[in-house]
Amino acid sequence: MKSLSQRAFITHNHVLHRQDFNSRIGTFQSPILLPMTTSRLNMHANVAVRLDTPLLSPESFQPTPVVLWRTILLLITSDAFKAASSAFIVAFTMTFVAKVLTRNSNRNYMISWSRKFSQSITYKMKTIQSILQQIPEKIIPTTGILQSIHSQLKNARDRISKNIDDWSNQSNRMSRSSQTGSGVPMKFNSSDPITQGWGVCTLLSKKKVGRSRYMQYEFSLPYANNTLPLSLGQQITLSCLEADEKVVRGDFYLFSPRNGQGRFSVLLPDISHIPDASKTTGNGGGKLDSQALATLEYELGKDSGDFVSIVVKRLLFLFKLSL
Amino acid sequence: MKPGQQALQYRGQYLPVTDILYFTSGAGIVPVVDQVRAVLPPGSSSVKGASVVWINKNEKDFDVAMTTLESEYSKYNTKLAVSCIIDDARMNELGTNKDINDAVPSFRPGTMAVISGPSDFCAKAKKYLTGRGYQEECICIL
Repeated sequence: MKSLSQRAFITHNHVLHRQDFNSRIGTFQSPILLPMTTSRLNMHANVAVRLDTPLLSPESFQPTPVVLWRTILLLITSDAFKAASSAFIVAFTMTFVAKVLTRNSNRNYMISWSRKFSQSITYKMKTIQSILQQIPEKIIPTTGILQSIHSQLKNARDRISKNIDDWSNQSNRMSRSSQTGSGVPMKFNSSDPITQGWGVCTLLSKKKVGRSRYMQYEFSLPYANNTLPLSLGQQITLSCLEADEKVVRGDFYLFSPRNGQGRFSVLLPDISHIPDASKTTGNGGGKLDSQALATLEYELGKDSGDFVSIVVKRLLFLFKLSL
Repeated sequence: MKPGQQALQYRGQYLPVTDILYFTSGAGIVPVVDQVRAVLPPGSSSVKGASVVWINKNEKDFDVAMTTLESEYSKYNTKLAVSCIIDDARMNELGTNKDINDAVPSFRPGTMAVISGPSDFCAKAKKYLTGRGYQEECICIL
């Protein structure tokens, strides 16, 4: 019984629709009480059809902006459009979040991706614009409306591009500053009873400077972003323990840039060319050759020379052990 | 390690400092390079001109900072003068070398002299510059 009533309702609705159509072309029937076949016969009898012209020619069918907007509105409010939009938003969000999470630290990647996105939008906008310009106004009289939509989208795209550029410039500034010296200055707290204002550095390497008789000794700081808080013309004091627990220290100027991060280097005389300079006692507690010591003392002064002699002596001792 | 002493001090009466003479030998060029980089850029200091006189016994020792000095000279060739002189400053008297005499500018108010190198060289250089008319207060020993 229920299915019968549904069918009746559908039929009734269909007939009403046909009634509207017939009334628009100038006929009126009373379709509710008449069977469907009768209605169809009457309609065909009153419609004038010419075989040499289409039923809806461009001249006879000119949609008004209201009709076009109603069509667009119907399209937007349709379930298919909503489903497609929801799927696109979900997929876009998931992809974007995944890329951000996997490459969050790579700021340059984000910038390049944003630029590509902006460029693709620009390309698509230009394509749409060229297509619209090729369409004659008389075929689609609403080209002006579409172009206004296009101009609004173009303005939005320009704003997005400007924001991306600002973001890129800011990022580049931050990147440059992080590379060139806004690291974390090391703290030397002389009131600390444990460290007494001393920090720790580790000898990384030594290498000869060109053809000169000097060696560059490179030290690492505790953290890779540490910098030494030295002003112009200020020295760094290095200290170590001698074999008999005696403290030796020396003052040196940095050979590396003062704002370098994570490491620093000093320039010291190379005494390896001096004969017998490598003759140390077996436990590393011996003394360097007197000529080498004299060279160090002349170049660096007594205190700094003693410090370097200890360092060099230990390096030579470690070198022997490694052999 | 810890930050050491600050040796760069000007005790002269002529301010601002408009000219600097860097008189150095051996590894003493290390702090000089840092200072040249710091004072020559426009707007960074009152210094209008800088002269670097670098004395080494061996020509090979100039490898330590020659590239850097050339680079700075190419950037500020109107403000920077560099003289690399081969001489045994440990054994010889500085005043006997004509190249040194020509490279060291005469003292005038606003000039500061910075000496850097081994302590023996610093003592000799101070004596030499004083003899050339430089006031002791305008000489800074690194």
